[in-house]
Amino acid sequence: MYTVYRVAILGMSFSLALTTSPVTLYGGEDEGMCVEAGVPYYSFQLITTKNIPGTGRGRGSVEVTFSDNSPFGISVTSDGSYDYDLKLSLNRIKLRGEGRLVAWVTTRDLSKIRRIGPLDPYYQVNGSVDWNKFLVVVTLESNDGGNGDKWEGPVVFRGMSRSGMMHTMVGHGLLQEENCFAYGYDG
Amino acid sequence: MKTINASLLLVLTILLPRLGTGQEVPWSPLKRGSDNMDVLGHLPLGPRLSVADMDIEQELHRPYAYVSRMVYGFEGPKGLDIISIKDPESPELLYEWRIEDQDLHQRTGGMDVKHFKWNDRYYVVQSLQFGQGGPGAELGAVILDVTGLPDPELVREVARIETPDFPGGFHNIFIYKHSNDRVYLFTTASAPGALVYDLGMIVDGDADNSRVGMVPVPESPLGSGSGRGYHDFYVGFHPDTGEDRFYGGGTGGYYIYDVSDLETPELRISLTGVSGVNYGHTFTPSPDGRYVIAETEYQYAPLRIFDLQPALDGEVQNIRNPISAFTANWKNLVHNHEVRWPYVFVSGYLDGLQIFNLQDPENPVTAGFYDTYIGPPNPVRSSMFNGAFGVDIRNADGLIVVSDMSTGLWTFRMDGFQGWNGENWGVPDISSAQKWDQSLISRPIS
Repeated sequence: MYTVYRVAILGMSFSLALTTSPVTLYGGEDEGMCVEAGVPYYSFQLITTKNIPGTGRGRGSVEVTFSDNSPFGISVTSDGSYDYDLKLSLNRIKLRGEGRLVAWVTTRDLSKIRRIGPLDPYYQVNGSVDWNKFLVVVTLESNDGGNGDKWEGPVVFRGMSRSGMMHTMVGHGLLQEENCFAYGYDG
Repeated sequence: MKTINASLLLVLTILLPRLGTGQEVPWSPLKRGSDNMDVLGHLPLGPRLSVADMDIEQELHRPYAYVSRMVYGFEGPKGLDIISIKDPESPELLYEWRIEDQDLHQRTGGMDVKHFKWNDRYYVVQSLQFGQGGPGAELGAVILDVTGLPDPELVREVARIETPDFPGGFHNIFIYKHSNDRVYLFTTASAPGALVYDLGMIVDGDADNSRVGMVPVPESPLGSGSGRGYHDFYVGFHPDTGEDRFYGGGTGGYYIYDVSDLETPELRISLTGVSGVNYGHTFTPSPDGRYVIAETEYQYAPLRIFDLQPALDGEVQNIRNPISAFTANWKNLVHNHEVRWPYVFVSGYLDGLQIFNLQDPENPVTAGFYDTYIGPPNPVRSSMFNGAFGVDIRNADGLIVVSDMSTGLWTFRMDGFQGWNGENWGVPDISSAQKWDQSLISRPIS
């Protein structure tokens, strides 16, 4: 009986694997094209700083994908860098008082900062980035603020691209207690 | 007979569980300290697990404590607090230095802190540790000019030490006034040795040339520290030989170097192959350099006490057997320590401040205690790393100051300990407290 179950489960798993394949074909035969759709790439968490009342229980994430406009599954810029689309969303937010949340993207050393824009009423915003390692920052700006080259208000959420976890092995020598989990903003 | 058996059973039923699980240490939440300890003051500093090491100035006219701020839990600041202990019964927060954009800096932040004096000005060095995923990974330390205290408006940042070749920052630091009268910063970096900086050069504007040496970790079966070579160290004058000696704990055990010439450190004594030790932590000698107190940072580890005499006499170069050990609670571990011979003051993590006496080095005895942290072990990360983190002693009046990871700053006095001068105990007047305005002791005593 147990064997029967195992076979059944294996069979179901195989079927599911086929039906949930991330490769989706689109474009009709009459178009003469067969290309891969933009598939989910990865996402990373946005971690609250608990700096602002009403955001301490908040959660957030950034979905990183390649542009749907690319016919090749990935997108690159003219200099060969990956060109990512970012879809930022927050939830469990009860923001009170004045101000609006504005999203930014920056290199890990903060030497370059780009404004993504204000979050919509559903606490979502889309943007793009063509850096390898980057941070996404959400700040609280005044109602008409957050339009400059860098944020002026307090940081409310922040997150690090998965690529930011790649680093030299310096500091991770034999018998070291400090593990990679300490990288990022969630402890 | 039946009645006697029933009574015996009843007594055993009551007693046996208590014998097995009862209180094993003399401190409790309702009686936190020994009778000879006086709590003078307490200043909570914010979220749990947000305080690291500390340092106090030794001169009575400069009553300042420096406390490193880190995020070991999930929240807190990253930088340094300056606290007035002019009235030890009412410690007062004077100044906060924070790394800019601290919410974007990863890992812990401030870890160890030490002060120094150079050309009649006072400075504090705050070690910093930031991860490579965010800003500041190359930043090792910041230096503040604190001459103008207690006026916080007069505190100013004068320099930052960056190590792009060894990212990850500095963990422990030690500042030593060398026999050549220069003041050096020894740092634990992600390097195969302790990086040494001339602090006078840095504050005088020549930071580019200020790294003047590296004390290596010798090769051992465990390597030479490809990650972080050393964890912690102490540097002191050794009167018998006239050498400036470095005592470092790290990969493979503990090492003592002659650093009289910083360009060519020479290994004098090693403590490797010690049972239960493959990575040393804090390592502090007695004032005469004969005994050493050696820490390892894992649960159940005691402080080990070694007698270096066979090595000092040239009979052996490696010592591997301790002569005694001290622990506050065998279930936990004890951490940093300050030696004011024969007393050893210990910041004992979950067990708070612990003081033991080494007058008979083979038989350490507890001399006092106060549990600064009565909470539980950590449910996340390392369970042992909470409670008393750092400790320092003011020699002039015997003030004891402790930084606790979760409860903040504490000031104490111990009955009968009204200050410390090694000469009064028959040993050189040498401790971690530097004598900025005096030349080193030339009279050998040991």
